[in-house]
Formats: sequence, structure tokens, C-alpha cells
Amino acid sequence: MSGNGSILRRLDAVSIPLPVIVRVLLGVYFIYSGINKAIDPIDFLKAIRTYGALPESPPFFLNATAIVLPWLEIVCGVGLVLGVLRRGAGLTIGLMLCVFTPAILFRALSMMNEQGLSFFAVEFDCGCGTGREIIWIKLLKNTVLLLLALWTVFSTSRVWEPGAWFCHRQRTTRSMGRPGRPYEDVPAEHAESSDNRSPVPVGASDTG
Amino acid sequence: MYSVRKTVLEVLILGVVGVAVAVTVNAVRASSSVKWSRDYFDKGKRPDLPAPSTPASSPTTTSGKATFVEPIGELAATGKIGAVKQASAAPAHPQHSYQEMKFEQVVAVFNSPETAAGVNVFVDARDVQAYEEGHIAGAIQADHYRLEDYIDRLLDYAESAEKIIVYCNGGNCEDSMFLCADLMDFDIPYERFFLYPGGWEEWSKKGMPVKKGCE
Repeated sequence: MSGNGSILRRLDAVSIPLPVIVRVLLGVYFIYSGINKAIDPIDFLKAIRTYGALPESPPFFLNATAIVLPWLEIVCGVGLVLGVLRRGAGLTIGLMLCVFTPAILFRALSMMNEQGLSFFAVEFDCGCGTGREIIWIKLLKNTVLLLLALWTVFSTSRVWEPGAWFCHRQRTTRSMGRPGRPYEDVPAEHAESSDNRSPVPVGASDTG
Repeated sequence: MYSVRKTVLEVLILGVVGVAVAVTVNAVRASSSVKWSRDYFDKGKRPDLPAPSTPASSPTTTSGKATFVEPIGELAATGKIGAVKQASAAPAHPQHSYQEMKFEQVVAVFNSPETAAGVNVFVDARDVQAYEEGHIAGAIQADHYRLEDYIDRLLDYAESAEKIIVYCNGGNCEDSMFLCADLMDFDIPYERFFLYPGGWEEWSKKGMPVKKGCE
């Protein structure tokens, strides 16, 4: 974890707010695909049935998935864009991708066998809200999305997150007796430290 | 380093919010809502269906056209469907328990004076977009997945029709079967409805009369 952690810290520390760009891009993508599914949940219901991963009887499981999944994607996307519950949203999206991607792969393999196609020629509407796609490209895209989702989970950067701003404001108000502004007057050694630590030295807090 | 407990809590919060939003939107949306407990993929089953391995020897006839009402067991046994279809390169039409009409039979019904008089009815089981792009001339639309929007009109026709020919895209499309199950649920006698497995693809490819837009 320390190796990965140091890579993430370096990526987080670059001057362009990469973590913000990543989570906003990921969030916008999932809002877009979620809306496309939520517009016509019946089409999405038909699409998820083609995978045969969920039992058709009782119908509740298939129907509930078609109803809930698009909105879960939208809620997580909004969370990422706004920087609210960022780690939870990233993890939820990561988990969804861990389920979707193998399902798409298995369906592509079964289509290959049934229709005698080459893997690179397999193309279908995977019910991902993006229409008919070439599957190897879709799998590649999902892998990249999964990596980005993991980044949002493990990133320690809290730039442009209302939660961080609120916590920081509370701490500075408590410790200095005046409202603080985010990412200002935080000593360098604390700015790079974990988000849960106080920006002021221990012992200086609550002294007014 | 990372607060696992806090992240799991965030996942739970997002899950609860997602479910709450989904349930609310699904309850208030006017169309395209998914019913929680409806079986959208029920192909139904004729109550009189013999076991597939038992070839029945007395095909029922309607209007002197015996092949119209052969159940699938007989058709499979005589090689008219089933094995023949499975061996073809085209995607096999899924198995079902309803009567089928082949293209020639559908054409005969289409050109019959009874159809012109409104005694026979063609039902397009595809969605509204596909229907408006083109359908068998004179066919009414009934989307199985949004049945509540169509059922009144469908039953108006179906209750008085002598023959109801139900079709969808063709190939491996199953929507026509689901609609037949709906008709059976509404007590339309199964002797009166027929599946046209070739569907829209076959009909349009063979240059038969089609119509765009609504009827």
C-alpha cells in the first residue's frame, strides 16, 4: 500500500488539480450513463436480462435492478462531481464496474462462440447507457474507469471538497476564534498530511 | 490510513439515497415505469399443450387451414419448426407454446376479405418508435412492456377478432410471445391468436404492404 500510496500522493500533489479533474470526469460519465438508463428503464430491464445473471423468477430482482441501478449511478456521479462522500461514491462505482465488466466479457465470449466471430468484432448494446459498442473498446474503457474510481477512493487530496472546507472552517473557528478559509494558513507539513488531522499543532487547539 | 468504516458508511448512505430517489421517481413517473413485481418475461403456456415428445395426431382446424393451430410439439415432431429452425443460420425463433403462421399463411390472411372487413387483426408487439418507422399495413400496436397504455384498444379488437396475428421484429425477438401471454391472461381464447415468427424483418424484406406512422 505504501508504494501505491506514494504514487497517489505524487499525483495528488501536482499543480493541476488532477484529483478534481478525475473525480469530475468520472462523475459526469456516470451521470450521463445513468440518465440514459433512467430515461427508459424498460430498455435497461431488457438489456440486463440478456446477461442471464439475475433470476427471472421471482421477477423482483430484475425489476428492482432496472429501477435502482441507474439512480445509484446518478447519485454516485453527483457525489463525485460535488466532492461529497467522494470515497464512498468511488467505491460504489468501482464495485459496479467489478460486476459489469466481467459480465460484458462473458457475454462477448458467448457471442463469439455462438456466432463464430473474432473477439475484436463482437459488438452489442451492453445496456451501459451508451448504445451499441465494440466490446473490446468497452472493456478497455471500463478498466480505465475502474482505475479512476480506485484513485478517487484512495486519493488523499481534498481539494474543492465541501466536506473538507466545512471541517477546516470548524477547526480554524475553534482554534483561532475566527472563520477560516479553505487551504489557507495551513502549515505546509499539515497540508500534505492526512485529511483527518488538525491543521493546527496539537496542543494549540481549543485554547481560543 | 484510510478510514474503512467511514468509506463503508458513505457507501451505505449513497445506497439509501439512490434507492430512495429511484423508488420515488419510479412511483411518480407517468410512463415507462417498471412494476416491481410484474413478470415482464412470462411467455405463458397453453393449458392444453401436449408434452413435446408426444406427437398429437389430431390437428385442430380453423377455416380449413390445419397447420394454423398445431401446437409446438406437433410442429417439432413433423420437422416444421424446432430442428429445422435450429439448424438454419438465422437466429432461431425462441421456443413457445402458441400457434404459428408461416409467411404464406400470413399473406393469405392479410389478403382475405375478412381482414379487409376487420374480422382479422394484426398486432405489432414492438415499441412505438419501431412501429412508427414502419409496420404491417393495418396493424395496431400493443407494446407488451407498457401494456396499460394499450390494453383497452387491444382488447376492443381482440375480443371481436376471428384471428389475431401477433408479430414483432422476427429472429430471436420474444415480444410477440409475451404479448400472446398477455392475451391469454385477458381470457382471449388461444385458438384465436397466432404468432408470426418471421415478423417485421421478413415482411418488409419481401416487399409486402407496410405503413409508416400511426394507424
